[in-house]
Amino acid sequence: MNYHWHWSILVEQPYLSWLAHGLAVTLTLSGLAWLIALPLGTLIAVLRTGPWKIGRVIGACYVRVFRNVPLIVQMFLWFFVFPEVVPKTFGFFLKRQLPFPEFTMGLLCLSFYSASRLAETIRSGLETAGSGPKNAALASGLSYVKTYRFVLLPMAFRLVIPPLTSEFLAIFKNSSVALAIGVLEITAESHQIESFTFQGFEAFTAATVLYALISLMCLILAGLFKRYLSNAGGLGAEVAIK
Amino acid sequence: MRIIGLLIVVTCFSAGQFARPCLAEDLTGTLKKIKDTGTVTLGTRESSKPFSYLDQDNQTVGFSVDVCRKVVDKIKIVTASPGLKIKYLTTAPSARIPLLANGTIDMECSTTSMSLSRMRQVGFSSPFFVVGARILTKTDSGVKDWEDLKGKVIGVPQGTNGEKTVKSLVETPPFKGTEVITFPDHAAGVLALETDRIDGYVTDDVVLLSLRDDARSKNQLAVVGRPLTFETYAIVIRRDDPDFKLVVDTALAELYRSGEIHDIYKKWFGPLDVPMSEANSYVYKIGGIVQ
Amino acid sequence: MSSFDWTVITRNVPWLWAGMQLTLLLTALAVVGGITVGVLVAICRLSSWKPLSLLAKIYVDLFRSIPLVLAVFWFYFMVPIITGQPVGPFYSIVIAFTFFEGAYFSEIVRAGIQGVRRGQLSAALATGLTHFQAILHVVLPQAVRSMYPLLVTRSIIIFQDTSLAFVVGLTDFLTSANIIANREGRPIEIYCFVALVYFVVCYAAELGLDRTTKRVTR
Repeated sequence: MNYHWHWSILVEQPYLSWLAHGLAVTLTLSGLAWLIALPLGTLIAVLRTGPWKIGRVIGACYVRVFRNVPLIVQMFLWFFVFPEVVPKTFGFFLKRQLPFPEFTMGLLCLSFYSASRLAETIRSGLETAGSGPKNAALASGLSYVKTYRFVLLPMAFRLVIPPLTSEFLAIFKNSSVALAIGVLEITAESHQIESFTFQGFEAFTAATVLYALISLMCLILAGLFKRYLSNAGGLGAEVAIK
Repeated sequence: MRIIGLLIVVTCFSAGQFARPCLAEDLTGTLKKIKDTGTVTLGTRESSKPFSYLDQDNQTVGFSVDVCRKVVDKIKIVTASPGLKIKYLTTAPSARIPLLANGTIDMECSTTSMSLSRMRQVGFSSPFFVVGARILTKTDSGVKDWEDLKGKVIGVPQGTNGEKTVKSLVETPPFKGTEVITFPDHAAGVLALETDRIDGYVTDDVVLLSLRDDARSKNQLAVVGRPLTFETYAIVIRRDDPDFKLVVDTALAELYRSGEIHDIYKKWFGPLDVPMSEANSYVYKIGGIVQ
Repeated sequence: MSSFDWTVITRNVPWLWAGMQLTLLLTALAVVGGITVGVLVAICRLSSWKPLSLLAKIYVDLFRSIPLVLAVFWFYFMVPIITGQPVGPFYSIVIAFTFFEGAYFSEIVRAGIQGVRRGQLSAALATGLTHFQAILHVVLPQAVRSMYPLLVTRSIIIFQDTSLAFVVGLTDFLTSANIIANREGRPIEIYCFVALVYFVVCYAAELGLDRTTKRVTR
């Protein structure tokens, strides 16, 4: 192995600020994508399980299309193909007037893709909650909207916290695919460092450690949140009183 | 021991025309490895036209590849292995250095330019091509030179020196408000230019000329502007192997001195209608070091 | 971008098909290898010997916390260092996929095993089987039924993920499409086609899953 280690490049400028910038972009991108994807995914899941037939079809189609095309291909479609097939003025707006075009399109793409995966997770939660509570709520005179809002969704979310955590981690990791359309997040910045200095091992180690640390933090937070929720009611409260 | 090995290698060169075989045990490092395995592995690219790419029949070809083949001819003589096989390995840019370090490839023949920070990690042969950063633009864009790009949108390929140059250019006061978008590959950059997403795409001039040649809207594209930088492409080799570097540099010097390099140039740049730049012809004049 | 030329696809069918064959082969090997590793890791994870289960947990958490592209990179360069000789891009990516997907499969398998009722294991042990035999012959076959949909879904994801083979210079379906797009200057047509092919294959697999799930999980 004829490799010359220079770990110090990771704290040298401009490489250190490249990594910091990449980290900021990754966190912003995945955080915003999560904020868009969660309500959208919930909406799709509700449509899929709801009473409205057209809604069920729309929900199913959405999930099928967005889940069955690789994210990297979707990125390309959003960035390059989408502005060409919409009306010319809107296409021009997307290409030239949109602030941070690659970040914005990458964010939309990641959000829509993630929403399809979240929708499936939440749907499984809604189905696990079963039709019992649903029928009970409806029979007690609640509207469909209120049934979902006050009965089914709270139950479903509590059931799917572990898979929701891994979905969040998936969004966080999937944000690296945005480098395909030029978003300079952690992975892209480490590639950048590699290409200027040829110190690939150091650069990719830095990226790997950053990903692993953030994932670990998310897992710990999710664990705390889960404990908080289980303490908030039911058996957890009894344990707490003891 | 290394000095003795070096002396023997040098002796072999002076007797090069007689192709006198040198003893294998005298060879060191890469040369010994090549002799022992009977193969040279060249790291190449999938689509760095016209330097290193896969053609219609999936064969690795290009200007850099031809230059490297000349170097391999020299290695055959030095290691007295006329049956030496050439293996091509298409590598992604981020994979080339570890592959070189762990011995998978022996030389990287593409469009890697020399830089001091890279030299901390790898060795470079003497340069074999000079390029400069210029602008690919639409003929009707009105862009003639760098000043015309003020306040517009410039595209650059990610992780190239061209990117660094452009980013520092737009930080100067006259270029305030100029946007830079980075693209992971040239195809994306050209597509962005064709679809009016950017006003100019900036990278090495020969690369731009070749991209223009391949583009669908060839006649609506032009390469403009004065070269903003000078960069030299070189063959990438392992850093701590002076014997091997000497063989590679000797092969290049002979290639330049004999004028064969001009044939290779014509083969790849003739069809693009690109005459040899002044800077380039000087590289070959200076590089043709005497025996 | 006024005109589209769809013949670019028909002209390049042999190339695209060659890429698709590699994609399918990689997917098959990654699924087989990943499930094998996944079962082993899951058994380690459920082991009553603490250090072993901790080690398995670290392995799973580490791989699940990094993007696949980084895992591919690490295996590509670490394997030659460990084995002392280059193994070529194909084998290194197969190894990378095997270990990376192994982490995901192990979670599926673990959930499946934990879903089998405790009594089943006790009964198997009571009949004189060793712990390992009991898991292999009694618990796993039952677990597989409940895992089946998740295993297939993960395989569909692997099929999409093999496009990362381009990192090590292999020409899978997406990479060969990329090369053609670069060469012909027709990326829009090629990318629409690529999206369509992935959709058709994955959707067909999903439909197949729906059809067979009832039979397998019965």
